[in-house]
Amino acid sequence: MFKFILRKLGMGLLVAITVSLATFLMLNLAADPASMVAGEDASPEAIEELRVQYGFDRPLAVRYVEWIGNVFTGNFGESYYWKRPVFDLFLERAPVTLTLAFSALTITTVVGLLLGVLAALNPNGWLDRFALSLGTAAQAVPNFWLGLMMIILLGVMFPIFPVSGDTSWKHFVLPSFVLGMSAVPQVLRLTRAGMIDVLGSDYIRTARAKGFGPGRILFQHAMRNALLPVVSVIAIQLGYKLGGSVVTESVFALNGLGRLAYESILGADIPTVQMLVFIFALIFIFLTVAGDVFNAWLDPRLRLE
Amino acid sequence: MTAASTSPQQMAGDIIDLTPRERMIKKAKSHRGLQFGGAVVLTMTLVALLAPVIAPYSPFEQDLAKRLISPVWAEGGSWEHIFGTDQLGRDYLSRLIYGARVSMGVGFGAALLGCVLGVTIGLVAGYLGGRADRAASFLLTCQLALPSLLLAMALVFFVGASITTLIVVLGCLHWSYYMVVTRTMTRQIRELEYVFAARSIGSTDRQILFYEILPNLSNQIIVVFSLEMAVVIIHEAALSFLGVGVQPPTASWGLMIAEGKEAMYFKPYLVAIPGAALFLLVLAVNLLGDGIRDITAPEGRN
Repeated sequence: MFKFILRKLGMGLLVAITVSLATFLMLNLAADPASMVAGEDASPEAIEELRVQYGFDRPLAVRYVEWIGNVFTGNFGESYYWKRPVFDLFLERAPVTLTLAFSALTITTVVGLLLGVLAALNPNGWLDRFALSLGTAAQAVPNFWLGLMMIILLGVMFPIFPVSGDTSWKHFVLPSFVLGMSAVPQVLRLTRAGMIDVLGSDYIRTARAKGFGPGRILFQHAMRNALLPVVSVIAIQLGYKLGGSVVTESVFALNGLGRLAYESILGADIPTVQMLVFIFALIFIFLTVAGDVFNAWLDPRLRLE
Repeated sequence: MTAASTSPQQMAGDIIDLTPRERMIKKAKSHRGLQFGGAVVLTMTLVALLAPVIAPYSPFEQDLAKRLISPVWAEGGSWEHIFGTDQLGRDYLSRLIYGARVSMGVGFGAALLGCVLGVTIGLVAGYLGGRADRAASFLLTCQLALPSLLLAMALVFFVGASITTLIVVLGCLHWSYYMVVTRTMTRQIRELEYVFAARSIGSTDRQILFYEILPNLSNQIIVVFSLEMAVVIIHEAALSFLGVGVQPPTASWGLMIAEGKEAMYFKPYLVAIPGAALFLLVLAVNLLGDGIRDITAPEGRN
């Protein structure tokens, strides 16, 4: 088990380094950083001056090594736009996004699991059909549009929850719902498929034959096995929620990391964008590794690869 | 040539004599999701292609005297502008029709680029195995770790937003699903007798890949294509909504929603109509994909 964890961590590190290189290259090659910092009306001389001042005239390889070296010491660079260390910006904005991501994930898990289990109890029944249709609809609805429609409906017709800002828990209700709904289909389908599979298996029949009640069979026997794959999907979904916060935060005017990403893209602030893409990727890698380790802990067969 | 042979016992009695094609048509006739999805996708494709012919007005022509006319079903609406007009007095139906071009064009283009990339990597990895396979799965792990929407936003905006940039960036960020499916299938098919047979009569690797393996993947690839196209359409709309995708005055549904947002409290149709069109298209593309998967699945499997 220890060896397994080490191997997974080593792989994660390798992926993280590759991703950092890819991110750095893509963002720095997508546009000339000097002219983006200088702005549209800058003269060629001013651009050249900035190029030397910020060190953009040095080879990409040198700049990458410098950046990644600093990242290891926790220094993600200085923002061109806000003129502050970008990691400070991250720490300032992170709480809002983490709150949003976790509450959205809670909604995804509760709705997805509940509907998935209920649907599996009676496949092809009305509840199953309802759950599957809801899943299909939730998959097709654009996140930002759902947000706006809820703002129109709830902001104007039934003003229960505030639709803009992040100062109280009430502000997080609608954005969490919108962000949470987007991942419901995946969790729902996986839960449903897993439950149908497990409920038809021999050991459940045995449990029934032994006279256990339906509740005990469902919670103690079936769900434990059916939900194994759901755990890693939920971990991965948390990673997606962070990236997805760009859209949701912009719709509901939450001042979190998604908003920071949006502002720094429009401000051509490469260090901030670079940091956010890299940190989101790191979180995703960590969650995937954690999911693998957790599954291997539950199911020893997975440790041999 | 079918990849999987099915035992007769698994087949339902009445369709045992049908050829695979007949069986597929029979299933398609009773598959409502497929029919609905196919009809909507077909209609939207025609609307996109024939936009200049069917649009009642120019999507760019402004008439400030006719700003914010309500659609025909609302108070103050008329048949002259069925879906009303926007803040600049442009006919909303015409903009919606031209917007279909962007959604369909970017969706199709990016899904196709992702398809070419993903299928190529998947074929090579699955067929060669060993080191090539490990390299490809490493690439896949890295790709999955990247926050694609965020990265797409940054890249499209930095390079300069245009339809071409959108297609290239979104295509390059959406190949993983194709790769996974192609790789898994290729690994299975590689071991089948007819591939050995082809090799024994002297077929080269290239011939085996293109004439023996790839044709057997087409159904799965079409399914992935439609599901990815749906994702890309939503991403394009999201980017355009945030102002880093399609630029004004081009009509894109995402951009229309962004422009309509300013007036959404008293003219909710400005947001509702393009969003509903987006929802309908993505729903239809998904249903079509699921439908194709259902009717092409070998008997006895789900």
